[in-house]
Amino acid sequence: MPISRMENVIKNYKIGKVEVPALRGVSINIDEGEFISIAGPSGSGKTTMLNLFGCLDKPTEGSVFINDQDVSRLSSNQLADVRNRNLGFVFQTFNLIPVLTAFENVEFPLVLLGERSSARRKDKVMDILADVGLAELVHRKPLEMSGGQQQRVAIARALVKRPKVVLADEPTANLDSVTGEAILKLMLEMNQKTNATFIFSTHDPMVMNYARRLVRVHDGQIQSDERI
Amino acid sequence: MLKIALRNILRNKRRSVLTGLSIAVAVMIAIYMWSLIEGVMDNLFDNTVRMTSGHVRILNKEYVKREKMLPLEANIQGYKAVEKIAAANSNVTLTAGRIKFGVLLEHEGSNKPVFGIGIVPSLENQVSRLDQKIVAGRLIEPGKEEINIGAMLANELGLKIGDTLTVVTQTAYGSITAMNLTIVGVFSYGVISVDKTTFFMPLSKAQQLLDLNNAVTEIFVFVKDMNKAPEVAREIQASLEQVYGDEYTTKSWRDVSFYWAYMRLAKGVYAVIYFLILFLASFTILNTMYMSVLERVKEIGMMKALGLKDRQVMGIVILEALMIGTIASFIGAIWGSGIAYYLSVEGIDLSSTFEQMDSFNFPLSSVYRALFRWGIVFFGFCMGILFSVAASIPPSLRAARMEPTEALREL
Repeated sequence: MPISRMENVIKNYKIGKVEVPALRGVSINIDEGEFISIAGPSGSGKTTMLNLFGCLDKPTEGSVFINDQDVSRLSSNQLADVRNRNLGFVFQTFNLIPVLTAFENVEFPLVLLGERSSARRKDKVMDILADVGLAELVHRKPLEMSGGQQQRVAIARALVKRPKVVLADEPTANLDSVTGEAILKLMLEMNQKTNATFIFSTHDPMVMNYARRLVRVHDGQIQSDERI
Repeated sequence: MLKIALRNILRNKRRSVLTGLSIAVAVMIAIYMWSLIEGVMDNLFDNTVRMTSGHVRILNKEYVKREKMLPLEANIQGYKAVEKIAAANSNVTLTAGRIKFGVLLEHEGSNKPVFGIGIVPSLENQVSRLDQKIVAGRLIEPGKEEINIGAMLANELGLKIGDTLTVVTQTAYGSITAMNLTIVGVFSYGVISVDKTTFFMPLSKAQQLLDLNNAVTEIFVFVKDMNKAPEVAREIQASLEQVYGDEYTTKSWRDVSFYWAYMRLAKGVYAVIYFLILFLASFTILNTMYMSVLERVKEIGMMKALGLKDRQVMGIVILEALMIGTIASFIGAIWGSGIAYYLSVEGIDLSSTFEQMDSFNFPLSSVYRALFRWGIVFFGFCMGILFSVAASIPPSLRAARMEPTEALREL
């Protein structure tokens, strides 16, 4: 059973009075545990696909399924619930909460999830921070860390609630190649360890090299879909 | 949540402090203005009641009809008996018969129409507090041909203590009468309309002058709780009717004093002003929260991507405003009550301003004193918080409406 699925998805954006097509009929199945890269030039629709899989946006036509649930017609609060329970996010610009420490940033999704026991939260947060190699830096705030470290915190934050799917939008775009590669290795490692599905968008060839499946999109349509 | 809100406030300390400052200042102004206005109103009111009516006033019915003319013939004959009936009411603490009459005051060729008031000197400390208002000389003594004269009137006529002046007027029966009176004291209520136009003389001499033996024109009655005055007035009137039929009538201060209505109106107007001050200050909160929300588009979008609900986003923004508002209102309340307290003790002397305003006829002391009440401080404090929170609602809605996709967008 695919964990994420699109059926004939069309997505149009309105920019001013003009309708701009972002996706023109996309269908795709993604299975549990995949490590998949969506690649394409900017404006190709890859971020739109990620947004739809991330329940951050709704399709104009067609359906999106997460864990076999049709999320295309849910309200924004219901979508927030789906995101909260099933999805983790890693952003291009890290997007940590600047006023919270690394520990608190990673703890945040657990708080949202309603985990009341602070001891249990602490266990989970410390475990995952150790997994991403940041056990030493738990009390630093984002601005006191390097980009690579921040992205590790972001990965820990995405994984701490054991989501089924982690969505990463150009996760290495703001990092140098060495750090970027280390981040990719970490994600792959986490993918194998937790069996979480990783979907990321990129136009970085190195990222595509790490992917186990590479989907190329162009002008809002899937151009190729190959398993490596 | 609390942690995030708190640290967000600290993130931009200067902005938070400036915002807080404007709220604090607004709360401060509202509190001390309010205290001052209350004080002025109360003073105005107290003066009015003490000078013009007492809590309840007993009058001849005919007198009421032509009160402006001060008709001496429509008096209260055998007033001691009437006072006794009034004093029998258990709420009554004091009765004081008085005569108010118009005279031409003559001194060295110049003369001036003024009001003379015949009083019982020993009671006046509880009525108009004349004893405390003597600024030079002494209080008049009963049965002597002495007067206390308003300071401004004395100035105008060039009178000083020890001068004798001739009072010319008509008796209750219309004949011309005169009496030589010696000035023994000068008073100042700080109320222009009184200090410029009034003198006091002993009641017995006034009765003699005006041919009003054993009679007064009005009896001031004071009661324990002035809010019960209308009731007491009705009770006294009922008692009087049993003895005198419908010869006399009673009026409570609420009937007489048009200031009462004026005061209520004025307080309402001022309440609007306090609200406006706070309303304006709350715009700084509005502005600050908008700024802080708009510069956090990505952050809020990201939190929403992680599953933060719209209402929780609102909660964070409102919580931030609540924290700033509470701290600022607290500081403002301290400042405001400090100023209000100072003004309640020291007062503001505006007599020089008033002297230039000839038409200023309210019985208002020229020293403004605030009325310090914790209720006002507390109310100001709560209003500060309320307005802060209310002002944060629009920005919080804006934050709640932000799309999580914003977080993924490259900036």
